[in-house]
Amino acid sequence: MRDFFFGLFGLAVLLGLGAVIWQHNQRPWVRYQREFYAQKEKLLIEAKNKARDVRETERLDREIEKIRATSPQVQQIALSHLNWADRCTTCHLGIEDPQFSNAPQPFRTHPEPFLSWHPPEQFGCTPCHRGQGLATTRDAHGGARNWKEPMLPAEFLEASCATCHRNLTKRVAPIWFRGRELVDFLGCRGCHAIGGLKSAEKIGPPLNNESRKVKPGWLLNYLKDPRKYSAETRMPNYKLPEAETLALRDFLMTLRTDPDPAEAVRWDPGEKQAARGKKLFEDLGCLSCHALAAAKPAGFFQAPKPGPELSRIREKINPVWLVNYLMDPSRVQPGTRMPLYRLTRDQAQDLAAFLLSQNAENSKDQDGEPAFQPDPARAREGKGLAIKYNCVGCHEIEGIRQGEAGPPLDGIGGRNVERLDFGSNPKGKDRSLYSWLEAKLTTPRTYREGLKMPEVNLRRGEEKAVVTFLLSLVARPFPELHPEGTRVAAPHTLEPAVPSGGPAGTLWRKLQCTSCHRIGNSGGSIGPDLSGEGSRVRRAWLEQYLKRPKPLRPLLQARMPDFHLQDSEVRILADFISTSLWSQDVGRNSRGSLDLSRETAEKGRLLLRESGCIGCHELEGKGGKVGPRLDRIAERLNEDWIRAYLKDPQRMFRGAAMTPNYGFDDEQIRALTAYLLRGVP
Amino acid sequence: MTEGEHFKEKLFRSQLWRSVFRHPYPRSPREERRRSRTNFFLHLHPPVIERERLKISQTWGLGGISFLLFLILAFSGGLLMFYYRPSVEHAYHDMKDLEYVVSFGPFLRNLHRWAAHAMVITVIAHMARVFYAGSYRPPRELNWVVGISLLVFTLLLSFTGYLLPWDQLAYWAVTVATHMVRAAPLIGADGPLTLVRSGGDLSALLLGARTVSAPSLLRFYVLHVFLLPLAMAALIAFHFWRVRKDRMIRKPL
Repeated sequence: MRDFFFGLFGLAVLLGLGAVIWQHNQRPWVRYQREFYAQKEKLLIEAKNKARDVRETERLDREIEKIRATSPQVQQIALSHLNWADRCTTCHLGIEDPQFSNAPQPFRTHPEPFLSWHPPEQFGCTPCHRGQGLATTRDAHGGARNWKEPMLPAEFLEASCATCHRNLTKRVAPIWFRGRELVDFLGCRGCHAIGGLKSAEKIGPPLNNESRKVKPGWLLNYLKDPRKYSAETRMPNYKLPEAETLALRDFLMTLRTDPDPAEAVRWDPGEKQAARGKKLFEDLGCLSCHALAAAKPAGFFQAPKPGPELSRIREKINPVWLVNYLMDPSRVQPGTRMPLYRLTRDQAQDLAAFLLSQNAENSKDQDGEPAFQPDPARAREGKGLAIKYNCVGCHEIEGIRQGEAGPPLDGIGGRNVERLDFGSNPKGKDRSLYSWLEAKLTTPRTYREGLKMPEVNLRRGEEKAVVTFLLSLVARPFPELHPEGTRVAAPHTLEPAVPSGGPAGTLWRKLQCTSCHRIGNSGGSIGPDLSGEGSRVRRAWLEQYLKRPKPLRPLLQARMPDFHLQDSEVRILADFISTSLWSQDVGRNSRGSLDLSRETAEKGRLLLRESGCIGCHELEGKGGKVGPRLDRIAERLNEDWIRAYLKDPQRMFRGAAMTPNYGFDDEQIRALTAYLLRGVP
Repeated sequence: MTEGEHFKEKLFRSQLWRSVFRHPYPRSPREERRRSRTNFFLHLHPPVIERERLKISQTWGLGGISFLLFLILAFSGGLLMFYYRPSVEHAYHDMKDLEYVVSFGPFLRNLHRWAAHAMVITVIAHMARVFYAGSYRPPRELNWVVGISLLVFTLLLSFTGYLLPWDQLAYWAVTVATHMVRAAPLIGADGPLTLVRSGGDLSALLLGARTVSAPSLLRFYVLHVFLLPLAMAALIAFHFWRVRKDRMIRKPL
């Protein structure tokens, strides 16, 4: 019996050891590598079957041989200067291989131009993506408990650009850029120091004269829920208990700088007055800064307006204050952006009458309020609350210099998840820094009641932008990463250069672009110089041209060959060219700023005739064939580039055949550009 | 004589066998006893033992299991030493390499870890068994004391091994533990009746510094892989020798 059990035990130990060996052989990365090499082999065989000459076949045979001889091995990018290694490429084998751009993860090609900006052998992976680079299992993505920096989801990845690059443009990191704008716009710095600084500018109006300015009933409702009055307001919702709103209302209603204007209260606007006011409202151009539901300007697009929406101010504003304000805005409310219109008292009263006649029915019940007397005890309590909630972060209030501010946000982007207060909701479904930040922004009280953080007015999706910005506030830049120094220049100021790595680099080497084209200081001179190509041509045209090059200049003998590129390869090249090869002389983002009116274009047409452009260029079926055709040039060229080119052709395009510099002035250039872009129908 | 028996006979009389076991295969109780006296390995067993005492429920084999685990730990620990360097710069990375890159590295680490846990349990269980059986009574009192020292060494080995991964858990666990050491009476800086200054107490001796730092890692490493196992091996030998001398687990004396 005993022997039987010993035998059984021995067998179990043997089986256990066998299982260990089997598992060793089935580690996930080993399986991934086998799969990758199988796929690669298949692709190579396909290419071989399509190959046209013997040399190509032989080359592919050698590659196939090499792939077949490859056995699974841990791959790593050693970053010796960081004493670190990233082993992500153990599974993500295809990041630099253009053939895998549509493959499912983990093999997919890395999107460009990021790898050509940051060659992986120099930067590795985790400096941007975060995560556990040493791991070769799922732990790499940050699932490991207590791992300080789990991988960033792709939607927040722009945060990583901003940890090193300070002056990112909207073009490079639109989400992060929006986040930074929102943080400034919403006045986050009123309570939270960022970069060691709180904002000097208060985003809200001063409240020193609040009891004269607004009606107490309105104020109470506004403190309860600001968005009920105006959906656009920047005032956040503090979710105050009833008693606190009353106390704050009473405190604010004690604030006044005007002497008692008792005699002026008797003022009763009539209908005639309102009609005169309406005329005045239109004449003065109030609509350029204020929106008004009753006077919507025609057109689909309405730019955001700097001034508040006016259709409901009858609920809010005291008529007497309004008249005074319209007469001399900065005296009544120092620091206002409203200009001085030099209105007479009569005019101001007419205008006020018109404005207060808006939405009269909805706000009738608030008109007949008896004179309001704040309760002194409650007002004292209210002052304490104004300090507690840091009202002075956004508003100026006389007598309060400093409130209780929120915590500084520097370093928040690298905060360890264990140090976050998940409060009464400790087992939230996703315990991560970014979901915590997102919840704090959208529903700040989810984790704990009684917190002071208010609900800020964010539109759907904007919280992601703000989170992206916050995630970029990391105490840890990688100074050793970049050989030149700590903070590096934004990518767009870098010199255009041949892609050194990444899928774009692989393609570039394969196609040998540089034997014909020059970029920066290297390359051939058969084709045009491509240093500024990204700023020169439109993206859509570029993709089309790479796919099927049609000769642009019929007289030139050199032709761009048709490489029969796949869509994925075209995308990689176009990504690289349109973001990295940008001329310093061409601006970005000025699209649409040009005056494209018919008259300007007409002027351009005449100028084009006079200057004899069609001696070389073909236009509407006439003209020479030395230069490219000018019809439909708008499809090909960026307008910023056209303008810069007309100004100085040689500078913009080395070796341009268009030698003469006609010395056009700015206005002529504008006219020519307008004509080239739109023509005269 | 069958073929097999013939072979056995030849083997037992061969020079190789005799050079290792010093005697031919015993054929009588007398030969058996003689052999046990002169052979080191067989010497561990007393020449005579009552059949009743061989039942597994007499000891549950706890001492033997502890020793087996000690051997497993020594073996797996030796293999781990091939990959581990006890410096602040390398320790954590070497641990990660073992986990993610070295073939069978995770198995090795897990084996070492679980064997260590199991050894603490079996050693304690062994002690309890000895206590309940009253086997600490004279003349076995010295071996009881040796056994208690072995328990303490087992725990110390567990403790010193805890710092070696050099991760947050290790760092703070050892920080807490060495703060407890500071509260020891007489030789702890914060303890009652203290005779020493901070920086000159037991915790500082252990850490080689005031806080857990590079010298601590090296000290813990040397303790873990050299001093403590050496002392342990010596004590285990003595323990076994005493067991043998005290006539194994015969009836209570």
